Amino acid sequence: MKMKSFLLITMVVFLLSNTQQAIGQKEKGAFPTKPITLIVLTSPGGGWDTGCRFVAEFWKQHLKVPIVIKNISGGEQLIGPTVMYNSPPDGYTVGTVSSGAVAPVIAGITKFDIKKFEWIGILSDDYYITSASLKSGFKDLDDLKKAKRQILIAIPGFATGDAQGALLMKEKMGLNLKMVTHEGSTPGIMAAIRGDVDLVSAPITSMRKAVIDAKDLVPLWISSPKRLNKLPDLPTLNELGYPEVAKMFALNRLVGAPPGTLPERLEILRKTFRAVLENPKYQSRVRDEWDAEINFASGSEVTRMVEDKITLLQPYEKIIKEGWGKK
Amino acid sequence: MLAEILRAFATTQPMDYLIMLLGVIIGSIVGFLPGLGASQAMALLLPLTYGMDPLRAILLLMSVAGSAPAGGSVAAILINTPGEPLNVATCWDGYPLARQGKGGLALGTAATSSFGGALVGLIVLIAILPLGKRVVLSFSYPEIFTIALGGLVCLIMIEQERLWKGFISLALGMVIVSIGYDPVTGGIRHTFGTMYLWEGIKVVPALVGLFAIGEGIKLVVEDKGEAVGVEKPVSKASYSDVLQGIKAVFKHFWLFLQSSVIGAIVGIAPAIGGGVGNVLSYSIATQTVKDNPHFGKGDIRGVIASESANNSKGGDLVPTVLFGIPGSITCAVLLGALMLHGIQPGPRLIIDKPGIIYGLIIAVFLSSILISSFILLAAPYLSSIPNIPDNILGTVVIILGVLGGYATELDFIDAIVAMIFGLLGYFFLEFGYSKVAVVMALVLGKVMQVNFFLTMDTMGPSGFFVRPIPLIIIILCVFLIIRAIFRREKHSGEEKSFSY
Repeated sequence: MKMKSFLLITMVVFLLSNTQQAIGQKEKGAFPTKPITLIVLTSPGGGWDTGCRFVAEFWKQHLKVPIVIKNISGGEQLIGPTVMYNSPPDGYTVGTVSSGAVAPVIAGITKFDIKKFEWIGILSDDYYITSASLKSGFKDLDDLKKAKRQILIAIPGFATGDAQGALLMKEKMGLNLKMVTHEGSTPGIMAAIRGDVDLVSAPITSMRKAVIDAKDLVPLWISSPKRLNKLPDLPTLNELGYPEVAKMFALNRLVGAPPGTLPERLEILRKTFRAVLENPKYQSRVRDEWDAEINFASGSEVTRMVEDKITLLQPYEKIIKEGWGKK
Repeated sequence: MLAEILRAFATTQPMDYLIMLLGVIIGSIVGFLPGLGASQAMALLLPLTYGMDPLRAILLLMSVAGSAPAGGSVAAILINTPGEPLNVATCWDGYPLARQGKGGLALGTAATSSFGGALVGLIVLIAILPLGKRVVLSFSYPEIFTIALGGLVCLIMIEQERLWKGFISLALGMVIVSIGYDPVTGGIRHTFGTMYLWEGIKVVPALVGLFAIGEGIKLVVEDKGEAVGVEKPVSKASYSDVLQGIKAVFKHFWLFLQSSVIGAIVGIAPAIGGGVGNVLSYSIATQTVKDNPHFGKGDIRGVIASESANNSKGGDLVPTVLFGIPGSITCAVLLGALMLHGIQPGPRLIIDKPGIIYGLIIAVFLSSILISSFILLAAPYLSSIPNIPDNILGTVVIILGVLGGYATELDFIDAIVAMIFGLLGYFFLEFGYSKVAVVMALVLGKVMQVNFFLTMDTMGPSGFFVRPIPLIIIILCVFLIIRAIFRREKHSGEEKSFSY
């Protein structure tokens, strides 16, 4: 009897270990073998969606499997990253996260830890142009500093680079700003064109029509490290002496995978993503058609960048929490 | 400009027509299916357009956008299921007409109004483009707030015979719309810790639940072959019924024109939302027509008001083309498509790439003709759908409704929301509360809240009274309320009832 039990247990252990090994081998095997889902944090249309569709077109050629775009919008662009965060870490679900998510993380209202994502890279960097309405009469930073009245600045929700940049403009540049919340960047731009608000800061991709093509707004400065070719006279925030504000006025469209994603699969995703970014055809399309900047940041560089932003905003935790209605 | 459009027309190739036909087929299918709409179909088609010539891509996408609202009207009329918020007001009179055996009449009217509305919208677009930005810029926060306020006042006027139930329904709608992220204060309200509710209750699952599932439950539970306040259909429609429907639009031509212009104006005001035009146009119609006691019980004028407004697409295209700012979600996808094809929308588009603008106009025009013709031809056959036994029809409608709720964003919770709103819709039908009031709150509530506070923040209270459009609307609202009070006293002994 004892011998029988011993044999049975040995057989079960043997079978289990083999199954485990088989699973392990399967996990280590070819990847990817089925379509990969790319979660976009906004609804179709707009910068995020366009950028993801751009990259998916090229990325699928390197991965040799289709990439399915899944738009999960809402919740101040936080629902998409939350869904991605909780997806199985098998490499078949990747997604987008906005660098603007650091504010809600500081406010303690997100259901993910932004530091725990496995970063694949940066889809694009978009810098901000701050512009004044024609009606306001403001032409440069000096005008704003000398203003004897409260200056109205349009901001979208608090989980955006626009709002966090405006917060630093107020605190670090000493401007007498009142933030007026609009539902997104574009209604804010329209409000500035109408002259209902004095200032608006928005990504170049959203602002270029109003500033460069139509001259409906007066550009005051840009947050990019160097000047724009199309607006060579426009100073950068670094030149004006506010590099910290510039750092916050950058929309980094991050691409990541759920925490704990299998390292070898993550490596494949990172390598192929990087190959897309290095593809000259992709680069020219992104720059010419989408007007965004490519940033070849590695996973660890993205982690460091996110941590930098958190450090920069941490002193304003109280203001941010109040902004989110959390005392 | 008209001559250039005609010239562009002449140069279209047979392949262009085939592409538009494909767009119309896709648009009519997604329009008919609850929960799915033009924007989802356009987003799915986007990758297919990468390799296409930009103009053909635009023709395909705009054909989908141009035909989906008319496809949605078929579902709204026959099974009380608004495919999108665009069609919700069509249910209010279209479905009772179908249940009375007048589905052919309603479909004929809907198809004609849809085509006519599209045409008026395009005329508005062509007329406004040269005037440029001034028209779009004249819509600021107080204008949008008072337009929405006007809609609510008109609603109260329709509901005055059961005022308290109307107010309770409206209040419930306002509570529902207050759920989620508050765009004014940045706070998060009534979410019970769930992230799903951050964005608030989504309009499509709520509408599908309130109207389709609510009605489906009623049909199954009662199984008497009747919907509230309407009769059992008696016979299949004929082409003469459809012809009567076409004639109805010409008979009520001013109402058609008024509704189309309202739809176009709402489209021009950016960020006001796709569902507002038809609801607002319907509300205003109830106040501008001579006698309105049949509204909500099967008045053909209700179908004209809704369908002319929701298809007046040209208005949406004005801010999209002039500013690169989408007037609706379908225009947002269109904007993405233009960018993917290396076309920058904005004021220079008409100068640099006029062919794209003409393509947009031609696609909307031809797709409207195609879908309207298809509905007119198929109307006698389609109109027999309400003749299906109530328990079967009810079950199908419930299943379609739940699937429609899910299909919006492939989110299981949306299906649950649709079911909850279905139960609410059923109770509303049972106890005579107003579903319309809930819809008005869902569609207009946030628009009003945001624009009220933005006006106060940037202009102060005087913002409502020193600008011409808000001032005129406020005066009209006061006039309507005073008129209603006098009428109420005059007709206090008479009984009226509405069944939305």
